[in-house]
Amino acid sequence: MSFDSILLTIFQRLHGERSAQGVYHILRGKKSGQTLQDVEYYQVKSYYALLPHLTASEFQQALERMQADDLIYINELVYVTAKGQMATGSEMWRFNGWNYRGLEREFARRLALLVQTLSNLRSGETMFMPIQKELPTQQFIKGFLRNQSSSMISLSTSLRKELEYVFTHSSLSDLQCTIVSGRLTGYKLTGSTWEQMADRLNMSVKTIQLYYLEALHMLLDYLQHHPNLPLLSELAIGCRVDTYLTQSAERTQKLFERGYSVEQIASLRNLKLSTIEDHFIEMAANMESFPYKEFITEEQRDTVWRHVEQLQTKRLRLLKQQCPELSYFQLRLIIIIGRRES
Amino acid sequence: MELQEVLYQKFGYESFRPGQQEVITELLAGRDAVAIFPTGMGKSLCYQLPAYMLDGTVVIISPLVALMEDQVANLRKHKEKRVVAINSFLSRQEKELALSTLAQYKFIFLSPEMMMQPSVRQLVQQLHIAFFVVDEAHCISEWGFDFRPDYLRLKELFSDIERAPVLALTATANDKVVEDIITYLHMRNPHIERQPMDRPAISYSVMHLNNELAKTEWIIKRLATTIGPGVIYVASRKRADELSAIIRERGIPTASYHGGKEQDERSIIQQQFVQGELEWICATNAFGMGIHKDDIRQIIHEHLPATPSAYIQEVGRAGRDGEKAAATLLYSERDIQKVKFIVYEDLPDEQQILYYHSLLQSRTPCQLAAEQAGLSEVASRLLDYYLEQYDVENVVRQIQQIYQVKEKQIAEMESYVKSDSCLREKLVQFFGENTLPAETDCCSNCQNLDEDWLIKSEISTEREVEALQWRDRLLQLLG
Ligand SMILES: [Zn+2]
Repeated sequence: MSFDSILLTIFQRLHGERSAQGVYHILRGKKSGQTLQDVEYYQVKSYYALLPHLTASEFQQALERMQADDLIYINELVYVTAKGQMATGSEMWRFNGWNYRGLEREFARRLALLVQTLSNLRSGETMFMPIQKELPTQQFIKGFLRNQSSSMISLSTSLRKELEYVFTHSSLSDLQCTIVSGRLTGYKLTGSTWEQMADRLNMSVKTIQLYYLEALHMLLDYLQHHPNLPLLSELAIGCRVDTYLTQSAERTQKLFERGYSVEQIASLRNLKLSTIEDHFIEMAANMESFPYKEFITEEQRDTVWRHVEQLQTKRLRLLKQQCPELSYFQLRLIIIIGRRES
Repeated sequence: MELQEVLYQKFGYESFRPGQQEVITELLAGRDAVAIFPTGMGKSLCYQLPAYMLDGTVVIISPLVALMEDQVANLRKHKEKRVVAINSFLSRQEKELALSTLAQYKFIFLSPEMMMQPSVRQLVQQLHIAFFVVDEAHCISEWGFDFRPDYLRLKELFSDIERAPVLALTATANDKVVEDIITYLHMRNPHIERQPMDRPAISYSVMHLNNELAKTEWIIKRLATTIGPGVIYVASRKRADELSAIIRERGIPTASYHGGKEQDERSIIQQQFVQGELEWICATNAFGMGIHKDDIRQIIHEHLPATPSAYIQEVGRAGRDGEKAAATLLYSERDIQKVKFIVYEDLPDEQQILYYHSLLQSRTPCQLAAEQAGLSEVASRLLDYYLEQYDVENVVRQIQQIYQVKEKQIAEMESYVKSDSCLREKLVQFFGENTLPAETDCCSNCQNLDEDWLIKSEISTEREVEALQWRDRLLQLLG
């Protein structure tokens, strides 16, 4: 797994319909309508906000490297070359950028501080320099420990058991277990820097960091569905994005639930119809039970997707030429909810 | 309680280090004091201990967030919960929470810009204050090596007739700087406690080498044959990474440390160094504050520090346990030019000042004006401060004065590396002190260095930290 192969994967999904800048915004998690729509359309939600701290120059360097290696070709838009397609590889990432958006790092900080604290306390060491300096993290762990009733020693053992359990059950690779545990610091045992891990594992720093990030997402995904790990679940509180709708869209949703139509909501809220339609697109993208059948039929859905496949594009203007009877709103909705499961 | 008793019960020390007791006694008697203690010689205790013997809050003004965080962590480590740091890194919410509960803290750390915010200032003035501490007080003087215009604003703070005593702390200050500290902080006949700059445990060497390559080779050879733990100070982040990679290839546990690394990495590196898992650190001047490690045996400078103060501070991190330590400065002919370039880059010239001023006059926003005049952030902050106080001709004159100070400091460093008399004597003379050459292990010019103690014994080779299996690692950490 490398940064380049992630970029290639995203470029391929966007098949030449977006600029490099668009991909940069996706990786950094820009909260603009265009970016949010892009991640839906091109099904790259898992990469959204994957690298909130990616710098423009890092990104630029990667692009230049990939152009020099003839993996991509940029002419305003980005195209993946045949060589690039070969190089993309078939590895399936299990990132979940959409749900965590950088918050997984807070989980990692909490875990690091809790492990260090318990490791020292169980060894009878009460004075140590906290490995995490951020005040909110420190306060969280303080509160966390205050709420525990068992002794530090048994707490420590329980945490170890939970970690072992989640490592083996969340389908982390052995390498990922090594990386995640290798970052932890405790009594007389300090975590490794990225460089040290890179030397030891004979891989690049960037690659190791990506495996680490993926592992955090996998751990958090597992915890989300398995509440039987009380300590880790508590550490994960607030590390998942819980409201995906913008505030304005949420208000539109409430009115819709009370039975108002798109047009009624627009006039009630004194907003443009197109704005309200944007809210519906947002809802369709984020709610599993969005009642799309109130706006389109399954036949219309199939027809549009047939065109998408034939033309190999999701560009609305081209699709509108094929299906002039559908509104742009309906077309966007059909793209967002995806093709019918056959 | 007796001083000695508090010292033992709160801090676990049997006795005071030189000078501490004098400063504490003055403060307890309600008098102002200036404490000039070399790095690592127990400056902080001068305010931490009396805090426990007086009612009220201790307000500490500290210029660097990193330093502040470190002192907070250090107090917490000693079981002090009533401590808070208020700086621009707090979120609005955190700041409001801290300010609304201000009275419950014993130690309040503030950055100068926070302290000068009217709302904060008002809240602080309502507190019952035991005394004020101004840390790194030399920053207030433009004669100091890292003058901070923010600090000058503190002037207004201590002019009240009735105010709590002020303790000014610094690791380095010549008479001119001390004079500035006393004037600007409105100190009243303060007790001045100066601990000698000279650290007998440290021996000094200057090595003349032809070029950068020769320096690298010297370092490689040195590290192969002599002991750590040690720090190599270099000029840039890039060089820190580069050099540490070169050394690591030789099988010596080394890491680079600089402001460009993420916080988690810096924590891990510090911890490893303190625990003895790393033997060497290649660092920019970002490394040092907050490193509590007493057994550093060597400091090597691959570049020329810009001022004697910076040099003596960095070197002073060695040998805090009182055992021998070696400081080596590697010098090649072009280093003077390089350091001049770096220092003057942040200093605006006359043309820039006039242009910036005219832009501001024509109501160009500050940031844009700074950009157009090609000013660094440091430079524009400096100018903003001066332009508030003086007309533009005077500002030009002021900046020229600073320029001269910096030039003088670089000239001092040049005379240090080119000296053929005792280096120890030379170095402390820059701070207005006199000392005699040490009889043994003095410096490379005294030619009485016995470096046998530095030689690596053959046995301590290759102690590769064996990588634990992840299960074993978790077990070892958590049981
Ligand atoms: Zn000498």
